[in-house]
Amino acid sequence: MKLKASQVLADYGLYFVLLALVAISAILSPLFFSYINLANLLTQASFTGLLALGMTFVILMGGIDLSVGSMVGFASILYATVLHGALFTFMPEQIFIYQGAPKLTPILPLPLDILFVLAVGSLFGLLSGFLSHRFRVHSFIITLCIMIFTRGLAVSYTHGQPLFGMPDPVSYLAYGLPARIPMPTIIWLGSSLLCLLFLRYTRFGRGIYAVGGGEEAARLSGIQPAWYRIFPYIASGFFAALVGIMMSGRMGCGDPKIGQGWELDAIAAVVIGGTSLTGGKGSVGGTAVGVLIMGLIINIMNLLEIEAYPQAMAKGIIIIAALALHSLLARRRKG
Amino acid sequence: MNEAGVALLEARGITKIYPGVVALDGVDFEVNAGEVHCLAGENGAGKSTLIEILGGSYAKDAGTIRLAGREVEFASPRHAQEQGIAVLHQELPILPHLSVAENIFLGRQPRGGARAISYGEMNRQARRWLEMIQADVEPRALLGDLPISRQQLVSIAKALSLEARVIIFDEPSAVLTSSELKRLFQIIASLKSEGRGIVYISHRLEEIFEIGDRVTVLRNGKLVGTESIGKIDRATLIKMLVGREIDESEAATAGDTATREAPAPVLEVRGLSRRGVLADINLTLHKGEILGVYGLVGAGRTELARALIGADRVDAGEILLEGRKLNIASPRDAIRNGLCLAPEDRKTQGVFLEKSVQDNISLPSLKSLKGGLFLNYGKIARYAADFVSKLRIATPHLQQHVKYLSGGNQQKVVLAKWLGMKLKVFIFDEPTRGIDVGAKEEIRGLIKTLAREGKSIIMISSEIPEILGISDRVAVMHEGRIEAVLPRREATRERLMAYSMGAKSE
Amino acid sequence: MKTGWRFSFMSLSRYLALVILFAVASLMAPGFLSLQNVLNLLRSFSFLGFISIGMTFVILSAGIDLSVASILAFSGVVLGLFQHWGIYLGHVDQLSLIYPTPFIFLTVLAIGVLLGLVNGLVITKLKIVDFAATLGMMVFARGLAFAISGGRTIFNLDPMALFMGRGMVGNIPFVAILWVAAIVICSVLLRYTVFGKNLYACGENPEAARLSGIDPVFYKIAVYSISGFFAALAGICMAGRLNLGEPRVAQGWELDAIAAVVIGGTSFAGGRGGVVQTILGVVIIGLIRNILSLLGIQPDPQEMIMGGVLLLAVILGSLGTRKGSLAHA
Repeated sequence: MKLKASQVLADYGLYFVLLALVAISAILSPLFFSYINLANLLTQASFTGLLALGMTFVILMGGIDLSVGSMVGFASILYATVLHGALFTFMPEQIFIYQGAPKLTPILPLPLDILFVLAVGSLFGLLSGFLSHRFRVHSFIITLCIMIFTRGLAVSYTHGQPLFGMPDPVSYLAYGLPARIPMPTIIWLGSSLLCLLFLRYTRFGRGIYAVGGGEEAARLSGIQPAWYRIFPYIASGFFAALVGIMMSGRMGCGDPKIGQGWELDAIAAVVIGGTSLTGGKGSVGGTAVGVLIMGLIINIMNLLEIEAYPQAMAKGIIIIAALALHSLLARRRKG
Repeated sequence: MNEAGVALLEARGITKIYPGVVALDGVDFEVNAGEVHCLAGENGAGKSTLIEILGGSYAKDAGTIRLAGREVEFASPRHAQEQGIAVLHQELPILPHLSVAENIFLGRQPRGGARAISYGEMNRQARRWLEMIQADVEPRALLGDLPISRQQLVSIAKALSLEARVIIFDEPSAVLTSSELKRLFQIIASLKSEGRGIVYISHRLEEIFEIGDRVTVLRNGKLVGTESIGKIDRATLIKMLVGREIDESEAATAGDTATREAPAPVLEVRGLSRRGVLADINLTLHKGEILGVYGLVGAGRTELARALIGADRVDAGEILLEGRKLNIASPRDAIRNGLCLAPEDRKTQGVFLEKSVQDNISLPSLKSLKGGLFLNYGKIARYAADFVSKLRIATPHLQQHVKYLSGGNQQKVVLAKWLGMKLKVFIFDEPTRGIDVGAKEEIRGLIKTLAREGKSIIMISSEIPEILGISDRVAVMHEGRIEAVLPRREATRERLMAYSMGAKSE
Repeated sequence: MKTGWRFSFMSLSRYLALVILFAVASLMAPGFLSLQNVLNLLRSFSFLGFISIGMTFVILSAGIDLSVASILAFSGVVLGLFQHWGIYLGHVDQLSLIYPTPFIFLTVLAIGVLLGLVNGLVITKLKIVDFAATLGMMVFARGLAFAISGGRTIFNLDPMALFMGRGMVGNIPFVAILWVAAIVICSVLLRYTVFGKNLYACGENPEAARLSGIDPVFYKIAVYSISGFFAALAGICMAGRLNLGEPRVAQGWELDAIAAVVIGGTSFAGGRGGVVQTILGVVIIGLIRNILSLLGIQPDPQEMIMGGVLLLAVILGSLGTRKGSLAHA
């Protein structure tokens, strides 16, 4: 079997890039391989990774979810609110000003609070997916609207202020180190594994690839596209809410402004990992590598002391470059 | 016939009506176990409609379908598949990024422990089906990476895996080389010996005679007849295909042809080729001549038209206009040099449905309808109105959106937009398709008038009477080549049919 | 050219919305319908108005431009930097001797066109879908603005720039005149030139346009260049109005522009609509924002409401067309 250069590049190029970035990082900072640095890097990457996981589903279906960043902030606030039984208050400062403030909703055990926020995130996803499918409008504009809406809602509700008072178990989600591995990383890798298995070993998962890659062929095989089109957005909302909860634990507060621009990181990771914007092609594994690559790139940019907005600039270029490169490789492959 | 004497699949009185067109009119068709029943007919005869109904994709308006004697109604293609009928379409809808095995088992992947898909089992089963037809295909290969002939084998394997008892092949040979075709026939023979019923649609006479046990001919949605292959010869089959109706226009214009031929060549095409699509096309078009192009679906006629107009790229060859070599990289170049195209797909490529009659007619000529820097709507309206009356386009007013016009009038709009541009060569691709009889005559008349005015015309058509009635010469295409170019007086229906099906000119 | 009145639900409801909004506003603020206030409103609508013109062109071609606000901000920053360079050289006057302000304006406009051109090329040559390409440019241009300004605001601009943003001609704000002039020119361009007709054709059906001898690639690149131009123009005027170059300005305005175009009746599917219709959308969006301000609603709740408005507009807009808006996913 002859090895074509473009073939090798397509299959293994990602790993070369990953190794090259590790090398660059190590050169730039001698502390790169220290435990603290790696743990930090992995933690950051894990948050992006969870968002990218949901985004993988969405892009596999040929769509995009621009609302995940806002959902992180929104979930963070929602979680803090629910935690303190203050769901229907509109003066959140009351929650924290005095202990005796009346609780409008019962204080539920921790897992139920978490489930509630996850459910709300999933519901927003359901809304996005449903509107996009039902009205045949491209998801980028629908999720763009949801993005502004949820960000606006979160910031308005708290008047831009963070909400404090996170209990310890939630901090554990963000800071725990079972077996010296950061908890977020465990959650990310565990979720990735579950999603990988789901996409690979269930009929529904394969159906997602089918509907995203060729709806007509899928229909002829008896697949009804509706739920396959909507589900990815539910997943995306779910993971965004999860990240929001974890970020609350990490910061010790609910912050409405967290997550700005994170959708871009997620999209970049998915695109670098080889998932095609047109749908039907890609993998969770590829996204995971893409997440690590993005994490390393961001780390290098931080080491080079590049500021926030120029970093965003670089991300824009990276996304375009990754898209162009994958498109070129795909065309070369076709011969 | 199987022992019980009941046909495997029996369809009686199948009727399908679309607005304005009767696609199928009371057609009877049956397939027995262990038989290859060929289905033949010209383009638009109704073959595709029939198999889409049998395959569950379309609903029939009337008639009954029986499977092994039991009456069935198909709610969906999946439903038909479950009952044992598999249709292998001409244009395979595939999932190119998924593996061969996945494409075969889409929606019904075998599951193993914990209800997880078992790839090992799926690949194993896929391999079994593929080996059954001796297909050298790796189940784990991506379907999109395989050549079309292999993809076709995969779809056959899929049909087998569905335990299909009736397998319908829709023009499978269009994409196969002769050795691949041989193998296909071997596979069909073995399927036959297993007692399955095969329906085989083809245009190619030699195939029908080689593989068929029976053949059914459709024409204009009606059943012409069903014959046993052993009892029929080529000539009879051709007669069945072509029919016996008398065509006045044919007789009337027989005399005109002599006066219309002029010696000066306007367009010369040399060695035009495009890999897989066109092979070494050579033709000459004279001033004031109408060159008909006949051929069956897949013969490459539209591809030729698009190549001439610069809509598709070519690998080799040259085009000369009045002796001068042309460099055509886009339709814009072609139009600037004096060639234009009325495309086959009128609605999506020929007109702008959401734009007015006036806009459509004036679009290519806008540069000349200006008053100074800006468009002069008075001029535009007059220009459009002029053509509306000249071509008798039926529209309540110039602002009517073209989507509301009838097919015939839409085609006139297509014509109108080119007429005012002083072009030399007009290429018409199926200009009268989907148009009512009266309008067809009008369009043909307009084309003849164009020729009389000295324009050179290439007219692609699937209707033999139309081609014979209008052309000075007829070129017949088959699999991307021009098999023959016949002057009108030598062009008979039988010869056209024969060349279009692959007969070689001596 | 009139296509004839079509009293569909959508058309009527647009005008109805406009009337209701004016009524609500005048109830809330007694002097609302005064000439002075209307002229003031016109000025504040103009900035959105400019980028909405560009967005109209893009959406007419069945595309989308998410980068307009970023190009706007970038242009303002570049304008500010030109002034700064002048100051660094010693005297502002010296710079304007070798590089007069009008030329600075032209340079900034050219940069806007260039960025739009890049958008067009990425879409047509790299074959990257419209929203992804302009998303990249949105992030890139905003980032570039921050990079070259160091994240800082650049104060005190040239008087000519100030005039662009704040100047009055008689009682009428200069930008409003500029906006109306731009609309007239673009409307003429779209309705009375070959370019305009060809653009509509490409927007509705690029393949049919190609077979009619039009080059859809050219028109795609052209509309994005036009969009970049108007974004830069809005940036210059905005900078003049605020008397500063600021990379953080106009965040989220691309959505207002999209909303304005959609509400105005231009279809995402391409080939239908126009810049005059967009005026209606701009005024409606502008009024909504104005009323929200009058109600004392903070910027963030405003964003929330605008998100809902755009969503509604997009959904209602897609109900009209058979195939919906854009390729759905």
